Amino acid sequence: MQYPRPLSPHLQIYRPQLTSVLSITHRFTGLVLSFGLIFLVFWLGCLALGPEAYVFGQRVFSTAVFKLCLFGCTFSFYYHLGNGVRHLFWDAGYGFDLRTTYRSGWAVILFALSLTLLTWIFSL
Amino acid sequence: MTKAEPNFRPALARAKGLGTAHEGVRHWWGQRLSALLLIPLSLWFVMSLGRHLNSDYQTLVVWIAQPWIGTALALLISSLFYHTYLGLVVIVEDYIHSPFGKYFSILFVRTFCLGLFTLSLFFILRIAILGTSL
Repeated sequence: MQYPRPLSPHLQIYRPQLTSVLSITHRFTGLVLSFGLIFLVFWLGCLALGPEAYVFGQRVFSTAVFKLCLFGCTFSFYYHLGNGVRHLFWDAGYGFDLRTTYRSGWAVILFALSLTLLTWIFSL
Repeated sequence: MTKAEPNFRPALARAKGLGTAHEGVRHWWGQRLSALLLIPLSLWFVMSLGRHLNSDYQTLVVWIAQPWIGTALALLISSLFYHTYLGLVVIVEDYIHSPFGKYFSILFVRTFCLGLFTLSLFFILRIAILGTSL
């Protein structure tokens, strides 16, 4: 029987750092947001297909499961937005030194958490 | 002598021809340009949703049916689906290794994004039409 060739340990041994963790989170939040897109289309559909459709939509939007998903999407949105801007600065050539990278990284986390909380407190 | 149009490829790349992936820079630029567009558009949309939290059906439909609002929403949807498509393609390229799986996964992502995008545009048009008669 053919065994796959062994790989030296990587993920299980490399120490997680702010840089790598934020990077994979950026990708993960992007993936979450692409599923969130379905909700956006659903919302548009509820509006487009008449008042009865909208009533159905409101019932869906009031469930706890949906609100949990929406909370996850809110954080993902603000995180992806903040880290995305960080990426754009890198693309323009700014902020590559380690100190700035770490500072901007913490700023992104702060931005995402605080705006998520603000948005949800505001909407209560 | 005609002016050469700006080419962002480095000189060596132009001399050697396209590499193994055959393309990629357009993908990179598309991702950045759509991201730049999405910054104001998505923030505007989130704030608008916040303002309309307790609005009823009629208010929302009439709001979207306004020319600037509907257009901005359509622009948001367009950049959003383009940006999402590019991002998902990168994820597929990184994690799916078999050429067969890669090809069909990218095909699926394209179908998903194009399909939902067209549906969204139809919905926006529908809302705009509904809004003018209310």
